[in-house]
Amino acid sequence: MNIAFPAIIVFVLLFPGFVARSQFKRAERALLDYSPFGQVVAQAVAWACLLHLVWLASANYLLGQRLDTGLLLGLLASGAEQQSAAIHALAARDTWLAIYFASMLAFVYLAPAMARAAISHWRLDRSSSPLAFIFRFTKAPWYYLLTGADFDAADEPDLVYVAAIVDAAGTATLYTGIVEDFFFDESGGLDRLVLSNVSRRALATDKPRQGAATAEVPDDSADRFYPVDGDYFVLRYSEIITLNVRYLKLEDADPIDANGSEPP
Amino acid sequence: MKALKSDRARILLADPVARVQLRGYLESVKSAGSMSTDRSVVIHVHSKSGPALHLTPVLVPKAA
Repeated sequence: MNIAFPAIIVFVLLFPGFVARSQFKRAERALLDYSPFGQVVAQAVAWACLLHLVWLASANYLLGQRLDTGLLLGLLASGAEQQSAAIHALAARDTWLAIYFASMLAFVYLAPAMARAAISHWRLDRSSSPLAFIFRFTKAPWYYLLTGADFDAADEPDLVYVAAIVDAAGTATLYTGIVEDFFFDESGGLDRLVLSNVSRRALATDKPRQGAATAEVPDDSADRFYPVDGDYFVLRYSEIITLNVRYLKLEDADPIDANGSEPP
Repeated sequence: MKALKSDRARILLADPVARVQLRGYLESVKSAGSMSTDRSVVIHVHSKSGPALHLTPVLVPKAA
């Protein structure tokens, strides 16, 4: 069996970069561009180069171990003799090699995820943050829209309320509800919204306000809405014509109002 | 992915009466067709695990 050994070496060297990138990035796409000069590969290679620089410098400074470039080039060489000699030399240093890659893999698995959590926790990526140009996850627009991540912690709303117009059998119907979950398709587009506390109304049945000349001014009454039975309502984004997103804050009521309107 | 929902919202939505009150408020806001600044609506929430809450829903603009 022929194994492209140099290719495996390159893969092993670049693998930490891919792990670090995927652990750090908050992206809504599942299908990524892995072409050799695509953005994903370029970023992963940059991550890998940076990591190896740091690890090699640390190994040199802390452990007195230096990179043997001759050995590395021997591993990447196409000649069987050179490869064999390099592998034997490498086998003599297997403990250092294991420490090197094990520590790097542990780091790239944990540290970027922790950095991402810290960025979200301290909201360094919100649009008004002075550090947003560094930390904002630009490939995740729905995340910012539907999780309230753009708000300061103090001003964060309590829930997200949407109103969507859906074309159901040729009739435009307005659905309103509170967003519970949202899911993406492979290309990063919104696939579906899971709503609760849903109401609907057919826009065609809207009546004009009394005295209004046209039907464009709706009646103020909320009675035209019909509650939708069930705990959750799944709305496919492909069927939505327009989507209106609003944020609702639940403030403590004024004690006078609260007592005055207490139900019996 | 989970959408934004605070603990306070979870408590409110767990109370069926308060949930209907909230839906009525949201429908009325939708019918009015504007950003609500009306703070006269009070929703009384009976929590199973804590004291009752008296909450005023307010629509807030998106962060800049």
